[in-house]
Amino acid sequence: MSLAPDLFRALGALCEPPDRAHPRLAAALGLPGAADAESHTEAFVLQLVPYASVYLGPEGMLGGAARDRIAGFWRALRLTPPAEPDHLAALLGLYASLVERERDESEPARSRMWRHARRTLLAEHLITWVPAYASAMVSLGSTYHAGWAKLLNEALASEAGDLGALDGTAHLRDIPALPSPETDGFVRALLAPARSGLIITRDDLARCARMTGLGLRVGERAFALRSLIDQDPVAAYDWLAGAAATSRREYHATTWPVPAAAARHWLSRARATHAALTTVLTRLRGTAPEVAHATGS
Amino acid sequence: MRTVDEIAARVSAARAETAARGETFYPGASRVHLAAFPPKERWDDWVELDSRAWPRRTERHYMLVPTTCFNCESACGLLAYVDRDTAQVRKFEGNPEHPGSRGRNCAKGPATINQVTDPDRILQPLKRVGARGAGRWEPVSWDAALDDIAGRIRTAIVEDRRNEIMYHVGRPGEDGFTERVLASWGVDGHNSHTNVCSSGARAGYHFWTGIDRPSPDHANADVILLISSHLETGHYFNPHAQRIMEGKQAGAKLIVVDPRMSNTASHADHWLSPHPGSEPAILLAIAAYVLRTGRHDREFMRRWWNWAEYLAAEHPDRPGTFEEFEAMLGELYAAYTFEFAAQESGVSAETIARIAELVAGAGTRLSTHTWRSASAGNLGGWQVARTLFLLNALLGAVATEGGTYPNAWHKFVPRPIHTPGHPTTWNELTWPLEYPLALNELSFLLPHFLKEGRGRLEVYFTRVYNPVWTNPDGLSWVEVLTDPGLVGLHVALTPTWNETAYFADYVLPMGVGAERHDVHSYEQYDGQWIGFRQPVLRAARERLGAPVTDTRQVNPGEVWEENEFWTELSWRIDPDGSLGIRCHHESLARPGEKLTIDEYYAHMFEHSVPGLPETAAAEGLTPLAYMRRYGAYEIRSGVGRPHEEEVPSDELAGAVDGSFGRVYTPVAPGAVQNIVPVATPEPDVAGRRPVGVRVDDAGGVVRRGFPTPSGRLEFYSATLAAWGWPEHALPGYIRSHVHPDSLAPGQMVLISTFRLPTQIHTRGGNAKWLNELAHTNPLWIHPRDAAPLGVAAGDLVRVETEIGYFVVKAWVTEGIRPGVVACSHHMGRWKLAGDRAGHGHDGHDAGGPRQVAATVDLAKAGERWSMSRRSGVRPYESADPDTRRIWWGDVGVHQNLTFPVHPDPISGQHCWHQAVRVRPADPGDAYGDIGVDTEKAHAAYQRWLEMTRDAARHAPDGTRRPYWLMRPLKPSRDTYRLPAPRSAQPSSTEPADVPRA
Repeated sequence: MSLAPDLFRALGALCEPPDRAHPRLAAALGLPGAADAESHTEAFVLQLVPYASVYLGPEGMLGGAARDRIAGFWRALRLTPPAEPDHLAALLGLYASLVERERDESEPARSRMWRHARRTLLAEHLITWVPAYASAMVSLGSTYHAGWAKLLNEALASEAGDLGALDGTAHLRDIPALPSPETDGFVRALLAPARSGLIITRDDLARCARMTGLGLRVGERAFALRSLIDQDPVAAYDWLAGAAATSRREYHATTWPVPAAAARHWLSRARATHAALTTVLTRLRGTAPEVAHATGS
Repeated sequence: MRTVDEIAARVSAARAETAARGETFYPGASRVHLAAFPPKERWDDWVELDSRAWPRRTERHYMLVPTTCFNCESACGLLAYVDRDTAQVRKFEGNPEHPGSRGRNCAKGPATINQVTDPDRILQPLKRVGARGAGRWEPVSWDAALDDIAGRIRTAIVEDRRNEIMYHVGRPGEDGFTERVLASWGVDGHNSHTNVCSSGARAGYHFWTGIDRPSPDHANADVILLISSHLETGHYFNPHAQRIMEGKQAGAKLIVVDPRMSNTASHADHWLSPHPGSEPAILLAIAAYVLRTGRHDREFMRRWWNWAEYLAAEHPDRPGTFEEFEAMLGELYAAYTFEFAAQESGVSAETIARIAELVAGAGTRLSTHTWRSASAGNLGGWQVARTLFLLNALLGAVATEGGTYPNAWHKFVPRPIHTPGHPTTWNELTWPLEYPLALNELSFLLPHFLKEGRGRLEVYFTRVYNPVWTNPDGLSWVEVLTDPGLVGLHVALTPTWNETAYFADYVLPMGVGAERHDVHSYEQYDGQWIGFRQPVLRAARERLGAPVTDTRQVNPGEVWEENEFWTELSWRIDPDGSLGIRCHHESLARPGEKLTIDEYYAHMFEHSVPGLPETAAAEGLTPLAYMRRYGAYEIRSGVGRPHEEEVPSDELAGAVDGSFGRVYTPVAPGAVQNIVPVATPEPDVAGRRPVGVRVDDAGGVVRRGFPTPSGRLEFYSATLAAWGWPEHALPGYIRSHVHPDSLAPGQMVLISTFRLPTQIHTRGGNAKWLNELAHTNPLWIHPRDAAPLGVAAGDLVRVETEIGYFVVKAWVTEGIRPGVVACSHHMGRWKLAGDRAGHGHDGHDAGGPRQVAATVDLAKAGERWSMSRRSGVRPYESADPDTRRIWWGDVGVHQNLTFPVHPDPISGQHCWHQAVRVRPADPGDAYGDIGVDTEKAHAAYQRWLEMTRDAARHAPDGTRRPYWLMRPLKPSRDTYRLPAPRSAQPSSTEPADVPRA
């Protein structure tokens, strides 16, 4: 039995800009308080933008083939893709509408068709990234947003359990591995979650600067990260390797819907990133890697 | 710790609770509903950033006021964004509270803002200076114009020249207000555009069901069969298109039959491009296949068809059993094989067979539709609707989910505060004896009737109507409009300049869709709703606490709304009440005072709209305030199958059974709130009214049935049989006047009946967005036809009709059937060089709509007219900077001027298709050149008139017309009696007495 479609619409609405309806929605969801404009901007604009293409595309950026693929899904349902077809609110709204169509359909064959569409949307375009995204959101430290993220993840896991196993990660297999650390593209690839298995926010980079005593230069994330590495490669890579190990641990602790194909992708990428960073550190230090960072499995 | 299931349930409950308070649970402009709108509780102060202020973040505060679009007949909901700081409308978007359009609009809806801000619109009453048509005007006060017009009408009424008063309407845009006004004057003066539009289709539907429009349930159909692209592409575009797409998304197959690749055809699973006029042959071949394969719904047919009446009337010697009828039906249509249909249509037998199988498999989920198109193009076009509905009737897909309903069941016309009685006069200028079965006025024959001396007009109103441009044979209209002996006073009620207004005596500025009141309802799904059109600035002012007593206080310039105008005019016609007119325009609350707009609609909404008072009260509003706030109200959804409803026993007290299960009752009908027009079957000889029909067995229950004489679906029309057309009493195939056998060598068929989806006929005027999208009408011609002529795309061609020619550019395309050419009627607007209508300008350009009308010279030598284009459109200076950015110059060619009238002898519909010759333009020809011989036009009229069978010779009961048929503004029963034979009358009735073709 699927969850009520309103749950998904309400969760989707809350990642939209704050509105006077938000406190009502948050209260209905049992979330502590509601986001004001500042905290919303911090969470959804500066730290973790809610677009699937950022987390599923090889560039880690808005749009591109990842967004096109999702737009194609809308078209396959004979729906006109909205301006931002991969926005989490749009995907949750679509999911809710598919629940309703299945529920309202009297013809069993058509009902099965809608159910299949819903299962595909969930498997290919939601659980392939939302658990990792939600895990990162929890790490931001906002109680309100952590509650929202946990509930979102639980709701998707519940749906996946209801709909049954479907491996929707085929498109992730084509995501290229990290390039060689010696290449220019390495730093940018670290910031592409689907490639590195890491979701590195601006907040993370600031934390890196604080912990390493380096200066954080204002600019885009790639610029800031390069600056950190340029100032002290060993310190910066060491922090990154630690972040990769942490991600692995968090993915282990995260509730991933079954089957765990998506979890395997994120885990394997985080593990590979950790290995690559360790290799870099080894080369830089001319020593064996530190054991402390290798505790993840 | 709550589980996720509990949270989900709580969210649903919270949403339901919020919706019950009349509020919106989710935020506006949100993605979660895939389409979202400003929540209605925030319509008083909706904030958006001003896009023109970019990059500054300047907030604009809007009041959102609903109204109804007036740019086609489907009455979609609009929301006007009224700037709270400037009290001006900034834009229009969809009204999410409207059950028909559901917040969606086509391009025409938002373009309402173009009409509001049109720099060339008419802003004050104008009076002609000099000769009619000379193009000189002076301002006149409303008072002076009203006094003059009212005085003439009063005199005509007092002198019993009531038939000299005529109101000629194009797009009604409302349900019954103006008919009520005319009835109050006691005149049979209603004249519509319908016989150049939809009366062919109406006739076909009416003969079946007693209701003259269909209501297809496209969204729930398995098969959607359209013999037209008209509604789905242009006219009812938005409400139908969105439901067709829903149907397709759910797996329905879309079949479009149209010689031209329309927008609708481009979405079809199957597009059939037949020879024009052969559509009934295809439909009958499908019907024959359904019968052959036994897929017909025997039980539905046995119960609801008038087969017993047919057998008794036409085959009294054969057993009167359904089985006998069923066998006979197979015989009747056996000749309509796929091969025959293929021969007639040019579509392969295999394709027709494939379509037949699809249709036969649809069962009760077959939605079908035809409007204009083939039913308006061909002699006998009304049989397109009749044979199309035959498929629904065979499959039992009548008033079923996914089937086709009679429209009246999905329409609600609230009873108004005053309902004047039937006029006691019959106007033969609109309802001549030659056309006793016409569903609507013979409007397009008016110039010929006037020329023949059948009458004259003292006061002639054209209202949102432009017959010179819209009708065929427009130059015959110019001839009578410029003859003061035939038309004493021509009053044009119009928001914009048009080709007919140039020939008026008064041009009176009326409001566009956002500047007037109307109530409107249309069939768009299985439900009933009303939409409320209102002057949005008036409603906005009233929301802010500033009452408005006259719409001119808020409309631009001196633009008025019609309803206030009609009330004021009626009072001036009958200032002391002695004519019995004024009482129909008086307040009930304040006897002796004028009825106000607020009282008119408040009374209607309080007394005639079930459920509205209670719904309004739940929000603490009056019914009128509710409608001003939301703009629409759904009265019912899921109307179901009214013909199956049992008649209550109290209505059957003293009832008697008539023939074939028809039941008559002496019990008077109760008061009804919904006065939607339907046919009125005759009472029995004792005066008892038909109340229902027994369809199950002799002692079975009485069901409400259909408003036909038999109470059933009339496969057999006793009316057609009795009124001189027995050979067409059954659904059948009449060969068109453009059938290949009727074409001379070298002739092709010209299709002129199709719309451009983003245009609005005349009222489009200067809708700049729409003009930029579509502004010309090239001649579609197939490469196989273009090649022998040596014609390439963009070349000029001369198209020769029966009465003249026009010169147009060719568009070579495979989207048209070979042997057929097509040119949209939507473009080709013009204004006369030297006309000063409305503007002071540079002396080269004429007045009128400068974004869409070419400037032309019009000349006449004898009976021959010629029109030549002086210039197209070009950029110009105005209050709107966009007029400097006009990049198009071509605005199309006015082909309708070159068409003679082709009145169908039964339905009265003008048959638009033309037999033409197409050849490369002559060396001296220029784009837009037109030549017309109006003497030939009159001769063509006379030839078609000879096909009629008039009431004087064929009426079975001494009347002018079957009383049961629908008729706008039905006059009193007495007037139906045939007049005494006329002695030695001139030519007016002569054609009726000559041998028939």
